[in-house]
Amino acid sequence: MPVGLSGWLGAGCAAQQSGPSAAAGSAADPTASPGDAIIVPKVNGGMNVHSLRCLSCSALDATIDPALVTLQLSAVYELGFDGIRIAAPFGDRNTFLSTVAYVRAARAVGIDAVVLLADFSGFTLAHALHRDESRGTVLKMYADVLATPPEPTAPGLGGLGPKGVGRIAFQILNEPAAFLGLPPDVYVQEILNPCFGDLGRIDSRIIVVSAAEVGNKAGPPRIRAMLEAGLEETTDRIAYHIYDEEVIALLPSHVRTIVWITESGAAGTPLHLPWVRDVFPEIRAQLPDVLRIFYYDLFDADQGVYRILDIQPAGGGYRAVVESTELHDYWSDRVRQAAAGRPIVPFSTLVPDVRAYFPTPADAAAFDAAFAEATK
Amino acid sequence: MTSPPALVLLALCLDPPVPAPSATPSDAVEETAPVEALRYPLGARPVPDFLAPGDPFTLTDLRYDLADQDGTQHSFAARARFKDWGYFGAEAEGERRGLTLMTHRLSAAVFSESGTWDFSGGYRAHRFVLSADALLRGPGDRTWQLAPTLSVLVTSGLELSGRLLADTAKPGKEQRLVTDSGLGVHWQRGARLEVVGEVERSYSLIATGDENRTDRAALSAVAQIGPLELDGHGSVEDVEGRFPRRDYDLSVQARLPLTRRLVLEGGSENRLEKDVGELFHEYRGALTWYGRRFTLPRSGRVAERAVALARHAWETGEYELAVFDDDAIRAQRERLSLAGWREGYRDDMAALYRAQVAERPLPLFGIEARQQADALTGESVRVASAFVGVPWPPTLPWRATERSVPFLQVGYDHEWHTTAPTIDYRSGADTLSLTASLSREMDFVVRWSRLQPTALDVIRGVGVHQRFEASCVYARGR
Repeated sequence: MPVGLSGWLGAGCAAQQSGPSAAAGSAADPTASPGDAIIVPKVNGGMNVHSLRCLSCSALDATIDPALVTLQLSAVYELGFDGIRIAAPFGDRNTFLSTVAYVRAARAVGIDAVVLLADFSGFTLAHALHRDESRGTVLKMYADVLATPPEPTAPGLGGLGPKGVGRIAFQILNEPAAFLGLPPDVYVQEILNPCFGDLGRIDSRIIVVSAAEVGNKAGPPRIRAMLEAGLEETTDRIAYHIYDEEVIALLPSHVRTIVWITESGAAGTPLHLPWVRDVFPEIRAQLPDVLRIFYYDLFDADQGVYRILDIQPAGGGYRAVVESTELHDYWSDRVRQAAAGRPIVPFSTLVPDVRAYFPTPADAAAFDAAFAEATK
Repeated sequence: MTSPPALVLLALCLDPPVPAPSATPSDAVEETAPVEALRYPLGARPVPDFLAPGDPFTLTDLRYDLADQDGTQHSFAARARFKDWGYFGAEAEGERRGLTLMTHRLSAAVFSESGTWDFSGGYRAHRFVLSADALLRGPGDRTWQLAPTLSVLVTSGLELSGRLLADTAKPGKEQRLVTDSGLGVHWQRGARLEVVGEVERSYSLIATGDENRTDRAALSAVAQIGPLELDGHGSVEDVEGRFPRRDYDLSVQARLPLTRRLVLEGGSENRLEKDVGELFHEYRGALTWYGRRFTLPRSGRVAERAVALARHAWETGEYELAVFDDDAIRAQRERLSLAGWREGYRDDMAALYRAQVAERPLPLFGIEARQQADALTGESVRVASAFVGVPWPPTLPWRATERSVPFLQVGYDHEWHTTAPTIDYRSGADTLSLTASLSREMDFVVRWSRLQPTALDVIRGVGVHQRFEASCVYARGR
């Protein structure tokens, strides 16, 4: 099933003029008449997105293909997600810069961006955040390049940032014991706590999200150790990952701050819909502090595991092919019901050319300067 | 107490008969190589006079340690016997310095480090020991931690104890003075069975200032079952607080002589959390070949003599349980050598010493493998170790005789660390050690290690590092 730029959702909505009313706060413009197009109701939580910039280029190739950015972001927008979670690795310059485009464009259409400050491999960023001499420089670069709010693409986007754009959040590292060998208390005391302090001074609008731990049964004892080391006082949001239903009951049911589930999903396409339809409500019921769940993931290279759609070359461009059709239809139905039959403003209308959000030479220079400072 | 269970309990608590030391095959061994016949690199060492008074001071302990890694640290300890009054000691390790005193009934120690003061004292009566530790926190904090303990020896093999930990800072919202309390029981049935049980309740604060209440029950046992020595430990820990949990610890160690000179060891240690599963495990196996017959510490003449000495001490008004390792036996001999009845122990002490020498282990070759994994940190470690020993008089390992004593031991360990398991970050560590025993009383040890950085080290900016350690130990009458 084609999605995204083909505008399937707009067509579907146009054909269905009746249904339940939109979720509170999801319709863009309360003054819009029933026939006016609206900003898509954001009713499906968050989505993990990989900062895909090209399908077959090498790591050294700096190409950012606007069609790929547009394809993924249009799917996120039109499927009614209110946030993306995307990695901005310090150890991979080209991927970092492509993330800039995703973050700015997403925020410009009212979608929050949770930027994961983490390297896919290696310890460059973790070491830089641990060192007093480099931490401030690195965080300031991230803030300067990624946290400045873009201008909204339309009025009434529904985002909670300035002028209705999406907010920015920085998640400090990913699964620190598993990816970095950081014991939970060391992570809280030697990495998160100083980062929280520095970011508060650099830009208080940045929401600081703690690293989640693995989403299996090894995770809850580590989360507990983080909490006992003072996690609640060193972050704005606590993050969990949940990939095993039994983990839900093992996580603390009440903490003293908001919880975001920054990754949750089921391995195997047939399990996707039951996971979102049945387990997501169970998470919210058992963990009342959870205000947001980011599904994992929109697209990745592994067929039939977690991804919702595949991206294939087509006619000099790309097309998205839905793999997880049941879940895709479930999300689409929720958007239709929330839209109450009103047409949806397509992504292409809001963002006619995503290159407007691409990184500038000044962004690249800021990255290079910070990288040189942190690694000297 | 006339009910059958009570009778059974009473029967178990009664001291088992101690077989009189008699001529056994191990006696024959002892007779073929008596203490006086053995030669060490420093010469012959006759049975020491354990009751000899200081003259007026006689040096009994001297220890020097050096550790070199990002700076050199020295530590030094010395102890001397003053006439028949007792033992006086002085220690220094980095910023920590202190004095110790042990007399027949009294013990005392004071240490200071960076402005904190640590005092301890004890009174050892016939049926009870009352002791206490007191910690005065650092400069600017005049609060104390006080830890009194009362132990009662009900029979020569049954000890009951109770302890408290009080904190005058009264930490937390509850303003709790007593933060830890425990009751224990320690039961020995001869040398072949020893059981220690403890229940404990403690209160601690987590970083948020909230209080955890931890209830813990533990049971440990060492048993000599035929040729097999089994050492087991189990505990349950129940934590109540904002993040409640229940953990279980279980460890089992076993030693089994496969032949007179070949010993197999193995063990496991596991920590589990209810509903979560394993948090930690360690598995270990070792094979050691000795140059002469190996005797497990609870199965031979040493065990018999140690029980006999403790029983004798108990009967003559001393507070002593049987102990089975060389250092604990030495400490017990020192205490008893200060007693008014000390002359009565002379023969028992000498017999025990002769048995220790006769059953001295002479390890000449060994290999060991160990594997552990910590689910909390994600770190797993595998260790392979090997050592080769050279006896004195120097000869090839397979030519050691009943007159041979330990002399040199060269050991090598290699560790494989895997941290950050998702990216499978691997590092290693190598340790080379040399131990030279110049007599039963004097050892020199040097150790060199080279450690590659773990993932955490890399993040902290620690690269490949080396460590050198050396120590010299003199322990009179060991």
